[in-house]
Amino acid sequence: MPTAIAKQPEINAAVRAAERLPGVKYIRYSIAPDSNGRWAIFFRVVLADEVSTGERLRDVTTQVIWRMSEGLDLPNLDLIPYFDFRSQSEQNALNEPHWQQAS
Amino acid sequence: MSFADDLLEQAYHLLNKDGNAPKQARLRRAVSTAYYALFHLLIDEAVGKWSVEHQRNALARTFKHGGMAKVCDESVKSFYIARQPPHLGPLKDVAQIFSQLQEKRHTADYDSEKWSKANAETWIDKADTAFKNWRLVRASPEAQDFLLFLFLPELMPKKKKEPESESS
Repeated sequence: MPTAIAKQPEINAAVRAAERLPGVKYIRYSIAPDSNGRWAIFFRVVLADEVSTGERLRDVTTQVIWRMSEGLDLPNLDLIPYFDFRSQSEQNALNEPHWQQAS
Repeated sequence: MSFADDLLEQAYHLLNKDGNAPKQARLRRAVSTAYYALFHLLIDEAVGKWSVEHQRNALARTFKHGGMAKVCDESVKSFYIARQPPHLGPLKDVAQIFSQLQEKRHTADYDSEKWSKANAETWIDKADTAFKNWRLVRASPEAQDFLLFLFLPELMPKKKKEPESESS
């Protein structure tokens, strides 16, 4: 794993900043190789139901990607960030543990 | 309407076909189709510059998905190294969305991870944004260089990382 361990505080700070955006419930992440074999960080973003369709979904996902890309210091991170989104109701229905809020 | 536009329209059609009870197969095909829409948009732009028309299909088949993603990731990094010049923002978005969508396409086609409608909608909307942004910047020298690097990634200049600031 590249410099990810040393960067953990910056990653956590970027996550906390993005979690303060309106409509964002919480964010989980994991570090693993992507489909091209490069080290990557996979962010799983759970959103409030009321922002999870249409224009509001467009806005909040753009803000999350923008805010986190800025906060992650991409040139020095050595990880490719990827983002996935789902609403709270979708997560309740799909109920996948790696998407659950950390206790 | 171009083939790339048709694909994007098809992605939206698949996304919305089942209303609020989407089938996994439909969501996955929708995301995969959105990726190929953007892939074909960029390839068609690049090979369209080749004056010998009957050779364009052969040329289009030489583009490599992995190499294109790498060029996109380097382009995004370059944008931040250059302190986010506003005129390059739309092109950075095209590159970032291409890279993201390629990974989504891989997940949609091969992984067992469940897709939500919000996630599929997000990435199809991002493809739509990439189409719009590309049409804003396609004539710029930076966009033309970007196409060249997608075709021949080895021509892309290596960027130096920013020096890390020392913490006190």
